[in-house]
Amino acid sequence: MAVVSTRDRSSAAQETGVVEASDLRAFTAAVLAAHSMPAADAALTADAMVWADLRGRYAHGASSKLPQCVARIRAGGTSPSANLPVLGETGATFVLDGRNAWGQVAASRAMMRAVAKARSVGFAVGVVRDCSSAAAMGYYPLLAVAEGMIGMAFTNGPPLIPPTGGTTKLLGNQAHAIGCPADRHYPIVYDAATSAMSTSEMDLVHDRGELLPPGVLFTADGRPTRDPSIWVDGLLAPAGGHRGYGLSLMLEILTGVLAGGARFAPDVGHPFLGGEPQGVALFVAAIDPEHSIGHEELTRRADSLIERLHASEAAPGTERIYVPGERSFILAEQRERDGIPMPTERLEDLRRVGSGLDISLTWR
Amino acid sequence: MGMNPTVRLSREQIRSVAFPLLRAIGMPPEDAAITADAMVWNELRGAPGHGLGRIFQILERSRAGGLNLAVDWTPLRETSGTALLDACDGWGVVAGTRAMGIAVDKARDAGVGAVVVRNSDVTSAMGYYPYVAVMAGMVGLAITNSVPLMPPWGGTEVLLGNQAFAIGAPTRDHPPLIFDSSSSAYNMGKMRSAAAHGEKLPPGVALDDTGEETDDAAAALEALRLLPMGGHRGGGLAIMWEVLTGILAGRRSTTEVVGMQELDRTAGVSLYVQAVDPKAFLSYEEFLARVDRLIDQIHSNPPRSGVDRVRVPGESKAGFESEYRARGVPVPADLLERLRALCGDFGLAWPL
Repeated sequence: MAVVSTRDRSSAAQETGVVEASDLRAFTAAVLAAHSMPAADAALTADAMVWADLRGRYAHGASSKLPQCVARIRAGGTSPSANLPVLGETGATFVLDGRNAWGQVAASRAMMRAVAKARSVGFAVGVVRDCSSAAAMGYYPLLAVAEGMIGMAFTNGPPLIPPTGGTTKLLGNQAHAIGCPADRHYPIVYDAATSAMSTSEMDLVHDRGELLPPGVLFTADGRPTRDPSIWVDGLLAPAGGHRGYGLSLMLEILTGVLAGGARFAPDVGHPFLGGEPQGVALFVAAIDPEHSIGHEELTRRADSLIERLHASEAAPGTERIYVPGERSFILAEQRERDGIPMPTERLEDLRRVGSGLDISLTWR
Repeated sequence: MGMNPTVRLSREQIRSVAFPLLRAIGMPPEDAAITADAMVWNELRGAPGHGLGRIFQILERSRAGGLNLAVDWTPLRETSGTALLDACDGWGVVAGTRAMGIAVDKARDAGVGAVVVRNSDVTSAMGYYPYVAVMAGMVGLAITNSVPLMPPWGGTEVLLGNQAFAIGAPTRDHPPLIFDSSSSAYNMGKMRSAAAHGEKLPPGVALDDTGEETDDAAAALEALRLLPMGGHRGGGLAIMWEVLTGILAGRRSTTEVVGMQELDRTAGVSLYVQAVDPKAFLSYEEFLARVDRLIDQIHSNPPRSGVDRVRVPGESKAGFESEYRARGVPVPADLLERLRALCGDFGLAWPL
């Protein structure tokens, strides 16, 4: 079994380079296309990966996910083509068979299908069974937001969280994201895991050579730890204790259980086991406000909610109140313009993926 | 503290008290039946705060003008998969139950249904609405906003409700799975209980009236500035729940929502309910087998020391239900006396 880890970085102070977002997208798409991914899917995946890099979320960005995707394709755990046959559908629902497709392709296609159905019936839900990890979930609701709709995307994941009171990990940290369009402001995009801290945040803590805050991670035998490098073998604390456990469980019902695929709950595989299908499941939904209050009224009201949040008094030491996703949009806009600063080590990882293929990546 | 004497009542007896009183207060028969059934369910699950005692709240709010008992429940707009409902200041339990009923009907044909409700009164226990979907063999989700109780994450001023939400799924061999939660770290009941017993609050639960975090339950109750569950996670969720309720329903939101203590003011609560028919996705038998397998996996998880066994959400409530179905629900004798007097006021015979 091929093991592909992107988490064994040294924690020393790192040099950084700056890569243009457009260069990183083109490079990523070219590498994926060279590994038999159809051009449209490769472009879509590249956009989703760079979306995370623009937001400083390298663990979901190209330097982590592109080498992983390529290794998985080579080892056979992920299929580069994504036919995604429709196993069943109604006017408002559908089931796609992932057949080990890369999750970012499956999730994007599923959300676009939900959007198309929601346009005629107001609300649509789709599930995908048996795909690979879909990385940053916040990207998919934005595909609905771009069409004037509210979008939701949930995924299950490999077991990381024990049920409250238990000692053995059973549930994933179930990334879930919801997005709503606004007019004068950035869309509201909530993107979270059900664990107190997400594994990508733990990777970032590790990259910075820091320790975890107390209470977010436990060793496999239940002792508290602050070492971010061991999360894969450890137990993650759910956000808000039993509330986060309950939410993890109900999200598993809506993803792994409902999608009807080969795996769910503790049987879902880790993405770095390259030769093994993961059996991830996705749930996506789109709500078209044109069938209720209308798009303009929705965005006007979203603006007013955002403005109320902005006007709300901040605690001492807090600069101001941000809306979910807002900081990321500000950062992404700046990086789209000025380039993406990234540890050189990560850029070298990327360059290596392209080296045998005559696909080059430049940075400054 | 002396024990309050209780009387054990069957489900039928609880209903026989509730239904005629709700009719006498002015609820139409169907709405009174819905409300009485929900009261029975909550009493059975050891949640008497959402049970018979609410009859007085309905009476007081409707007399003072905050609650409308004569509502036309025809949706304002609908498609094969959605509906927008105006509760016209009607009782939240009726609004939530009817909305879920509509969502279930839509899901029977379309596979899923989503219904948004505006201008509702307070909704009481959220777990009941997914239960309505579960009884129809579907996965139910219900979300409500509420009177502001939480500052946004990083803030000190209350702006968002504690945004209760519940999700339920049908099962084959186990009691239905019902997860019922608020988006705050502590719910109000737990906060009151801590204050009553002089217990300290754990970290991350509440701010005091200067905006500093406090572990003093009495100060926290006084200030009513709850912190979200899991910090920024619950803070974000509370905002998204406001989007799906107050924003999407198109009427009142955040600080425009009014608490139930203000008897003469309409609450202006919004609801989002959703039903998903598993049969649109896989065979129903397969779905139930998978949910049961997941519950079995939870039950067989080795417990931590000090924990007798690992439970699924809502399991302790299901435990009350099995006991109370067999032995009757303990109802405080003084509550029954007040209800008997109310029957007298309305010229109704006491049914027990």
